[in-house]
Amino acid sequence: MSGLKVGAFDTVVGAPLWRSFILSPLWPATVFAALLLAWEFYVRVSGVLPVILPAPSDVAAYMWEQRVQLLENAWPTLYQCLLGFALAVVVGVLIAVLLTQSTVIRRGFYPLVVGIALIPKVSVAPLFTLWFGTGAVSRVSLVFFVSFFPMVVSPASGLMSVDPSLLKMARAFGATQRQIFWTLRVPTALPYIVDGMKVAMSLAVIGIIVAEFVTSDQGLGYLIVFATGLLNTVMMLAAIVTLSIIGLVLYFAIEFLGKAIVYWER
Amino acid sequence: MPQIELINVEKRFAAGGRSVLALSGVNLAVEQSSFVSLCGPSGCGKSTLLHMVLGLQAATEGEVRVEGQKVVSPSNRIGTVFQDASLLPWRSVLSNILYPIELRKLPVRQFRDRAMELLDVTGLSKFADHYPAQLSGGMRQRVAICRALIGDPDILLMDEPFSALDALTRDEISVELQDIWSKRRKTVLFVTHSIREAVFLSDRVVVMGLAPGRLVEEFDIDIGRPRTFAVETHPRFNDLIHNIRESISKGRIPAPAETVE
Repeated sequence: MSGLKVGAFDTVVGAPLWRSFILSPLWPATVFAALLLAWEFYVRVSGVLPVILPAPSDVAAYMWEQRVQLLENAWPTLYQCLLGFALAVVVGVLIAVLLTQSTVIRRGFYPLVVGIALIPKVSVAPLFTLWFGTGAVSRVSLVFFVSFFPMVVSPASGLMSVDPSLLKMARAFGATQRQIFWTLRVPTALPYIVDGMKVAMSLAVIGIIVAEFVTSDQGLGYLIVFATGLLNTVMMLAAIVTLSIIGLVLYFAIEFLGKAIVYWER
Repeated sequence: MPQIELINVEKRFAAGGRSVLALSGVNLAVEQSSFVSLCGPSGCGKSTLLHMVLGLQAATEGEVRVEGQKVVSPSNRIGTVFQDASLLPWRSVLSNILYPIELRKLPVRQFRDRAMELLDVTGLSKFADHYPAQLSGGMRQRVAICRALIGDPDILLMDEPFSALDALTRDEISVELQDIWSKRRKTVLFVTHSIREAVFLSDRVVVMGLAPGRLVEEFDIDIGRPRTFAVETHPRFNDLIHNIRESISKGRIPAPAETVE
């Protein structure tokens, strides 16, 4: 009987030990390790050229050897990315507040913001070089521009989605508009702001890399372009892996921050 | 002087370019310390009437008075309990109860003891630091009652406060409400769909009718207090329920006068 159970909760059957393994984080980690091994195995057996596909072990070895170079290039990427992102968060939230304060402004500008949010914004990277030059200002501006729109749209919809029954209750107890803003709108918007930050963060990483592709003399994006010129695929992959690690760490930092801020939804 | 007074009140809404008559010719007087229920079918304007007493909506014609003064905006002499508890999910139980005090910019600290005392009355002392998501529906509604009482208002307005609760919790909380009312003697205006609940709790039940929303009939509930569920075996209790039900049926038939609905 026990082997015939059907349904989402009973699909993992078998001995308790196997069951707890499947449900633990060890299982996806094992899958990941197996895929890496398969890659390694393929490279060794097939004899594919290292310039086309290097083995993961070679990439790892290169990363360890060149750790100083990688870190030196990771730093400008990281701080310019975070700077542009932070600006997008602050300015975006302020604009969102402004938009939701006045019907006139909202009706005029909000559709525009939503519209621009849909445009592929990295396409303006060359234009930004023209306007802001080839320095950090240009790159930070692109990161800001790319990650700014979700930081307006998401907080704005949060500020406008207060539970109507809470609004009625607050008004019945004599709340002023100002009190409603601080005690209802802002807390309601917090989870939306965190969601916006998650989207903006991943866009910011894309933004800084594209900016470094277009113009830079250091950074992980620069390293990737530089490695392509040398046909150094190991170096290219090392930069990509470093970048991925940065992206993941930043994403989970926001996830963690979100859980701390939005404590009541746990 | 009645504590709550509605004189020839009429309320119209604009809906889809037409004017809809929601309430017409409403005359109601609620005496101090009495418990009055409004009972009627959906759409009879019970909640609209309550909102006008609260000062959230204005009457189109006539006048709504609380303690002899025309109502123009929400007053801190009134505490309100809504159908859903409407607790702020990001605040603890204690902080939710103190919310009206905060809105009135009074020193919150001085009301802490009072909040704890109210929690004690409703059996929730242990839950002061919990969040609404951790409470059952009945507990949440008890917190909402505490919040309505924190400013020691003279009037308690209750808009179908127990309709989202299960039947057993509903009975339990009704008895508690009667207890609180008899100790503190607030004037209560209570909106409900439940005839049984209205009769059990009230001094007077006002039946409302449809098309347009209006008062149909009033019933004095001449059953002694404190009431326990034993009153349900009381022939008078069942007579009243029967009469009120008949009256509600009558109220469903549109009034002969001008109706725009």
